Amino acid sequence: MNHRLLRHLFRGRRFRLITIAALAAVALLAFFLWPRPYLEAKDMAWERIQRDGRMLVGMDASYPPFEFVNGEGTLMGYDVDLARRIGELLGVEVHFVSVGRDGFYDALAARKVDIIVSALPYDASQTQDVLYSPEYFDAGQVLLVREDEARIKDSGDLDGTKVGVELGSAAHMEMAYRARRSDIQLVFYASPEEAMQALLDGEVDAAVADSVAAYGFQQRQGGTQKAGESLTQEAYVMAVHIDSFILSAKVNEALSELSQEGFLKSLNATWF
Amino acid sequence: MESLPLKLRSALPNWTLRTYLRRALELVLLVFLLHWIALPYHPIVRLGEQQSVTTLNPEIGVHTRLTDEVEEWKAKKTLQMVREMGAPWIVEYFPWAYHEPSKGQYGWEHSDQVVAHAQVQGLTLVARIDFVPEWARPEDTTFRYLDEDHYQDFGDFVYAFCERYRGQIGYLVIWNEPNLSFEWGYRSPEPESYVKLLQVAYRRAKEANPDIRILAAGLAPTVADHQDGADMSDLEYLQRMYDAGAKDHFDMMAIHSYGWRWPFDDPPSPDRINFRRAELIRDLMVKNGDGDKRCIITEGGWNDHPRWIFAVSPYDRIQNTIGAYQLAKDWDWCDAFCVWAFRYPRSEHTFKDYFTLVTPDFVQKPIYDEILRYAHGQEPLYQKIWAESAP
Repeated sequence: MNHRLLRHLFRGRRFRLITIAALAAVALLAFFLWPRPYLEAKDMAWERIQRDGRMLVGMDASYPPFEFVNGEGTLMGYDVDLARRIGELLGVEVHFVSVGRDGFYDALAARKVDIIVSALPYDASQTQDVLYSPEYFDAGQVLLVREDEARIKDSGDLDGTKVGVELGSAAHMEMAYRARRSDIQLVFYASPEEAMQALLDGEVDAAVADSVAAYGFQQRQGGTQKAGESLTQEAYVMAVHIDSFILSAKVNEALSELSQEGFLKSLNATWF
Repeated sequence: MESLPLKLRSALPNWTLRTYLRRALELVLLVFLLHWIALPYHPIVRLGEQQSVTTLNPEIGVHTRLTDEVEEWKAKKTLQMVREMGAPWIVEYFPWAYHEPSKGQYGWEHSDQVVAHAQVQGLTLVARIDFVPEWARPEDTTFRYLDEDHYQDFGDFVYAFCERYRGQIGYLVIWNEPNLSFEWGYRSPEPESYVKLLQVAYRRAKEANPDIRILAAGLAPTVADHQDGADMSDLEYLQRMYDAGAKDHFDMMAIHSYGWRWPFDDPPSPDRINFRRAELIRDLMVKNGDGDKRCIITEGGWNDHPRWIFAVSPYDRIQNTIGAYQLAKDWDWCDAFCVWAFRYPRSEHTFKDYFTLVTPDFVQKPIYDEILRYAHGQEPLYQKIWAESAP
């Protein structure tokens, strides 16, 4: 081929226009012809829920106050109320299915349940098999001070203080780690309640406990407040099958609504 | 060079053939070097010098979980921490399917590492074998399913295992909690069939190593009534084992002894699951003329999850665990109490994490520190608190 002719074509404005038009045509063709399985994907769980009018909720009733069976054999707890309320918003009944805690993900995979609502900690290693909701509760360790505490605003202000913890607990481990880098004296108690009572009694300057124990103590006793952000995070989430994208979206929407209307805070007040 | 086109010749450097060959060799070496650098880093893990365990209670043990621990340095560190804590005994799991993925084809690399490191750390290793490979069971069955048609295959593996680790492993537990339907492949528990399995395993193990001690499987402590083919009480199961002639086919008894919400010294009772249920197992052995056989508690302990209904407080867990170690030492028929579990390779994100003594990141939990103090004769912290808070 004539080299000068080629060079003339490649430089021309007309060539650039032709090239752009050709690329656009190819892209358009690819868009319409390329396989798009996600557009034809089905959410089997959501289809079944709509067909049956009920949602199967997997739960292990061995975690009071989140889920437990009372003396009369009635299933109760934070997650029970949460699941029922979500069911109301979705316009379906909720049917609880007893599943052992180490069988949660198998139950979802085998489609024995539609959703797990059971004080389930977020586990990144499971995200290839399930879709998680946003966190609805953080069960991590929190720092507590007296209501009239002026100096300690967060964990960075603990130098030179005495901090009460339950011996052997996750709070103990967290504060032992921090005490290696700061001048913090740990004082040990036999329970988180004793540690928090010691805070009220002035034996210690602060106390660390998990948020459930902290909420409960505050509800019953008062006189304490949380200082700063949680020291550790343990996010409780709900989980659905990885293919349940519609159910996941609907649950997340319902959760957001419940959070905004204060329902989650009311559950704290009821159960802790 | 003269045969190449003029343009190409003018583009090439003016090298001799020897220079071209040298440059080519340098290029090849450079490619190998870059490839080697780009390879994943595998640190060399040395066994180190022979160690011994210092402890005031030679019956302290733990159940390690190195089965799925991929990195050798983590296995070594785990066993090192066990030794430093003052525990001479470990129980470890060696899944059959991992070691014999197809009949007669064995892979021993991982278990070789674990066994070697355990030996160098001065630990006595109790091995547990089960986990059926796919080729030894029908389709759509679980890895707990082993039928009598394949008992000889299991026996062959037991032979290979005992032969390989002769002189290194002196204790072998055959199967796990066969009184549970799940552990028996979702079938109704069959003590009589288990005894046949034990018979085959015992014979083959002794052929490979006459000195090895075979332990009958630890039974799950349960008061289940075996209705509708479900789980069977450990006491009923053990008696039926003896009725089926088990006595001549094992040397020691493995016992599982969990405390759940009861203190370590809570009295034993057939309708209660507590630590001293181990004494009921022992009583059955004596009743069936096996009083001269010794026992190892291969699993047991307490859980301190803040919310699980079968857990106790961390404080009580420490007190009960140390109390149980002392009680096991006082039992003249018990060689060791191995707490479940020392450490998991990764978090389970469930209450199970609260059985461990060390986190997956090797952070020592306070209970580890307390056991270490106990094993070395130091006053545990919890006793100080107990004394100070007493009225």
